[in-house]
Amino acid sequence: MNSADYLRGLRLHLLPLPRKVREEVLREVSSHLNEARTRGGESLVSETLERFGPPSKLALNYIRIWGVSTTFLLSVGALGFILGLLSAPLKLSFFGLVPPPPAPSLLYLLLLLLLVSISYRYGLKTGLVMGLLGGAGYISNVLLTYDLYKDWTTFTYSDIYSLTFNTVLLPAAGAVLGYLGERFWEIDIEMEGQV
Amino acid sequence: MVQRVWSAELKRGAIQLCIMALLKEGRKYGFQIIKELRELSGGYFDLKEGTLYPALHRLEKRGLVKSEWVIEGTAPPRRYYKLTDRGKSFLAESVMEWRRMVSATEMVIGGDGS
Repeated sequence: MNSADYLRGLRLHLLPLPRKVREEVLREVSSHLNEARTRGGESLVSETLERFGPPSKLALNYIRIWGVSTTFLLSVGALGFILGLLSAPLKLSFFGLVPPPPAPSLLYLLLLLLLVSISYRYGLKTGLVMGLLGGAGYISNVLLTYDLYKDWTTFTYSDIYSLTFNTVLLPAAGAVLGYLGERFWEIDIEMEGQV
Repeated sequence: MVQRVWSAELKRGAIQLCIMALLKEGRKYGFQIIKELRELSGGYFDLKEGTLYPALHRLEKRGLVKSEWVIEGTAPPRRYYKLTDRGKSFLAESVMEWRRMVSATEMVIGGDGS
């Protein structure tokens, strides 16, 4: 990997950061690589890239220090909302997106997987926003269903149970996993092999 | 393996102190910090870039250091870090604490470490 590829990869992985911080980080890494090139040519640049570590890991260290941007939070929340909306196993199954209950919705499983991965990676706030909006999407599905049928009697006990369970489960899972993620972050100095 | 993890844990606390001690002498940029740290420690602290920069950002976020971009002659623009007043106080307290800890540990493990 050359320095241009490295910086491109790093820019991509830094996307969750606020724009100003992201640009500062890229400028600093780029400056360091230029310094290496001036002092030792391309061989020192290659060695320096090794010492920076994988772009994904480096980016994550910065994200854990500076946190994620509002834009990233809103994007993750919007994704949670859409998946929550489309995955609720209620009366919109004729859209073809959701199998009839009690079969689990694949979109719901996808939402859970994303929630686990994103909240653990980016922390409590991100997990909570995604979980809350995922739950809000779930509720919206119910309201939409009611609007279509104008009849609450179409809801069974298991629908209500499922609704309550999932709208509580999603934010709670996001918050708990995000909290656990933050507890395990090693943001002082990476330990193994970095010193 | 246990030895390696334990050694890394020991170094972890020391490195933040060493970075701040280097910055006490005046503003420095990343490349310079790595080089001086390696030389002054006789090669013991060979800090990687992927460790140093996040550590500097963390110190900056805590208000212990601040940074500025400087262009000097034909050299590429460099981001210099220096201690803040808060950083200077923090360093003085940390150095005292470090010396107390080393002294106490020496008393417990004995002069020959056995």
